[in-house]
Amino acid sequence: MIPAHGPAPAGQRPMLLSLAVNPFMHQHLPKLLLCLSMLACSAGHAATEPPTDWIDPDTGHRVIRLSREPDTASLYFHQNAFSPQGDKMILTSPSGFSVIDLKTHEIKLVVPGVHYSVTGSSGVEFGRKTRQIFYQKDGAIFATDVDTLVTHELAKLPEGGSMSALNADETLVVGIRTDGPKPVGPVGWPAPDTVMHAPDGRVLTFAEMREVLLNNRVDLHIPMSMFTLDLKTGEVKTIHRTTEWLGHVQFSPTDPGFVMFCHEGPWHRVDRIWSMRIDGSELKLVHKRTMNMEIAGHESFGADGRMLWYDLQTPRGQDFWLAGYEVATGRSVRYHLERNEWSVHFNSSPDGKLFIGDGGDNEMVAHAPDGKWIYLFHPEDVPDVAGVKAPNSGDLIKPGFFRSERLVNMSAHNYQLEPNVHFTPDMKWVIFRSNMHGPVHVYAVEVAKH
Amino acid sequence: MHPLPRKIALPLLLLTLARGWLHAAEEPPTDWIDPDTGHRVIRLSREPGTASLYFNQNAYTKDGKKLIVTTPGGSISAIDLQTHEIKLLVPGPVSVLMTGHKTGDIYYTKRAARQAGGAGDAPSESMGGIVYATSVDTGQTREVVKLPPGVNVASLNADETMFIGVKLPENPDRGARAGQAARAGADPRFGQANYEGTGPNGEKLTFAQAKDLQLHRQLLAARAGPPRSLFTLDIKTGAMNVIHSESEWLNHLQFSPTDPNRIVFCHEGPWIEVDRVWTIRADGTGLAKVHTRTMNMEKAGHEFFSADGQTIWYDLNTPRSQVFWVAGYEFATGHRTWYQLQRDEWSVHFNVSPDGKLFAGDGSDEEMVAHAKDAKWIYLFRPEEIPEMIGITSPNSADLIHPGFFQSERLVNMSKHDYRLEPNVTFTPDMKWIVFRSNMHGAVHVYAVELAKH
Repeated sequence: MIPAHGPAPAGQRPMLLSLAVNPFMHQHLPKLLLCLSMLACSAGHAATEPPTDWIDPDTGHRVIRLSREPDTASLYFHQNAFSPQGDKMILTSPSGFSVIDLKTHEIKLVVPGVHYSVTGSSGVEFGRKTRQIFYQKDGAIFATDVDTLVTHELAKLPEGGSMSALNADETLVVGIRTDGPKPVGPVGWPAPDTVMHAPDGRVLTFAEMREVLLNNRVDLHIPMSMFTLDLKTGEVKTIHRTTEWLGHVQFSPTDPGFVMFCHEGPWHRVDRIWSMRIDGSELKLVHKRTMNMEIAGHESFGADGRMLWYDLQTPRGQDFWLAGYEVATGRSVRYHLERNEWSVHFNSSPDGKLFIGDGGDNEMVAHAPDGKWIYLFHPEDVPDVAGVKAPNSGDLIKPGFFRSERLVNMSAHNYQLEPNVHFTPDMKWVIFRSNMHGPVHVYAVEVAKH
Repeated sequence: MHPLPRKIALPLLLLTLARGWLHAAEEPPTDWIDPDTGHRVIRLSREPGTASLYFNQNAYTKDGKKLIVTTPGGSISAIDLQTHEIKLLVPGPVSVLMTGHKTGDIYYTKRAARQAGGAGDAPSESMGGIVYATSVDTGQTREVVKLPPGVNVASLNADETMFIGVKLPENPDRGARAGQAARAGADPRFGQANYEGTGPNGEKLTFAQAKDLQLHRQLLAARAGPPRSLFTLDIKTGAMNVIHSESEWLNHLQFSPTDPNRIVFCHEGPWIEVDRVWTIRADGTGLAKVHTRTMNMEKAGHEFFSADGQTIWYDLNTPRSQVFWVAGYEFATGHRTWYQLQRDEWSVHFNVSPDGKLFAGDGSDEEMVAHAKDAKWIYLFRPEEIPEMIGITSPNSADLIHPGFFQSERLVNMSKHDYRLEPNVTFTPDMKWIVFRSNMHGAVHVYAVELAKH
């Protein structure tokens, strides 16, 4: 996707090639160059213009900034951000939805004026069949062709309903609706400058404030429902009703009739991850907690739709796994991680053979002293001993562990923005968003070492 | 992973040591401060080849002042923990059982000497034995019960009214014979066979791998053979009552230290292959599995009672060699507690203090289950709870496993110890010392390390 012939493509930054031997210059020259061409950028931004291309000195991996407009973000880790051909990726920015060409890095604004929060996790996805992005706007679902920019309004959302995800054959959108009174005040994310206290008077951390807000929302037991919206006929079908707090409904990337969703709330309080057919049948709890303070969450589908993957801790903050659940058989696998390797989101590669994580800071659940990294994970099996096996070994959880490789030093990143790693379809790069240089930008790190 | 009844293996060990099989070139130190831990260590034994008991055998007198040890020739001595005076109590060869929880007397089995020229693998149990009890204070000995031929007992209940044992089939199956052969082949240096073998690709197996493979073969034979039985033996009447039979390799029988009718036993074999830990009442009711494995390569074992008898604790790996716990199951409530350990803290045996508040471990070497690079230590563990988060709890939290972790403190550097002999830590009744056995200075000796830092 991204030219691999050198750190400074000809014609873009001609002076850099000759000076790149000096690490200081290598880091800062792009800023200098950009400041010199101040005709193109405001004085305020020029001073903090982040670098566009560097080798992370701590990991040896090449990192590229893909976005140019400040506060541009890549999508949440389980949203489909890539065209079926793998050449384009969705970006969100204050200007609207854009797509970036992963080869030329050309960015094209395709849906101007749409407001989308960087903390969002639904409401826009790339189609898995056509070259259209599907999104929610003004109470309806729209599709825009990223090549022709031809845009259609496809169907109206039901009153109070929002889009969660698009199915594999682009025929249905799944969404959720609050059927009771909507909660008042911040839900899940503390408002800026919020200060909250523990029962003993201690000031809560940001992460703890989040837990309290989530818990308050669960306690409301507001009636909710899940619906499908037929994009051809506009028909709305309610497929599930509950007083649990529904969230993160995801369509299988391959099976147009299968969804995974969660019961939101503090993860140690809820059995979070569920799956269902869209006719409402085969409602299944994917992970049942057996330990107090055990948590499971940040679930996502593997690229072929065969596996569900999720963050598992037994218990919270102590013992870390990436757990997998095979949809067809209910069998599970667990890859063990060390504390510093725990990541707020994990993702799997298109071929299912590698995993990535976006790290975490020392306030977050793992309280890792050295967890601010973008990680690549190589899964390993736990070997048999001298060929001895349990007779029922096929029915048991299959254990393994991750061998990790650091890709990007995130020490300058503030984890109140979650980086949300994605593999590019060609598996050569890992996409993430970061505020490590001030404004939010989208970056790519090369999987191969430089 | 201790397949051999210690009451057989240890006397062999001691007998051979008495013959000077191992010779200490120089007298090991008797009292030192471990420079790496700052804890005081003392040698309690004087005679080379003296060993403390297996970690789950009660070895202390009722007043807590004396420790029972075995000495070369299969004899039993008592060490005064205050004066360090050592007194020979029972001349060998005998097989030590445990001290009684009620009387504090030491119980042991004595058999007729084996006939010269007898079959090498003939079970020594076939001779018929007598269980005796000797008062540690007065040295007075009484006959407790005569064992029928082919019968052996393993544990004594809390009120000293019955024993429990395993009855093998009349015609020992292949597994039982293999077990006897393994016992007969115990290496006197380690109290167990010096396991060796080759893997599927012809590679040389480590001691631990070869041991697992041997256990696997014995297990398959036991499962293919006729049922084995758990029985109780009434001390007053001599009546044997079979309480449970199955074609499993039944082992590690333990009576509760407080409830005269509570028994814990195991399905022996490679721990990844069996759901090992079971409990049953002495009348045969209440058979229940204590731990069901849910993960391939998960293992549970080396189970032991808390001093109050309320909880059975065991070593748990989820999976083997990756994630380490000491897990506890409370009989009355079914409540479970799991304390997590780091790799270097994993120990081949754990134990719990008399007040239930502290744990100890005997460490391990790099070949053993945890493959730890720096675990050759005697450890003290302080359990910590995983804190509830700012008052937010799961509605069913009472029904869930209660997790925690251990804060560890190193007590003794065991870098010179050969872990084919397992140190087997026990707390002294006053909780001021941890007793273990070690070959760190050549011959096997019994040591104690002080919990308080020097």
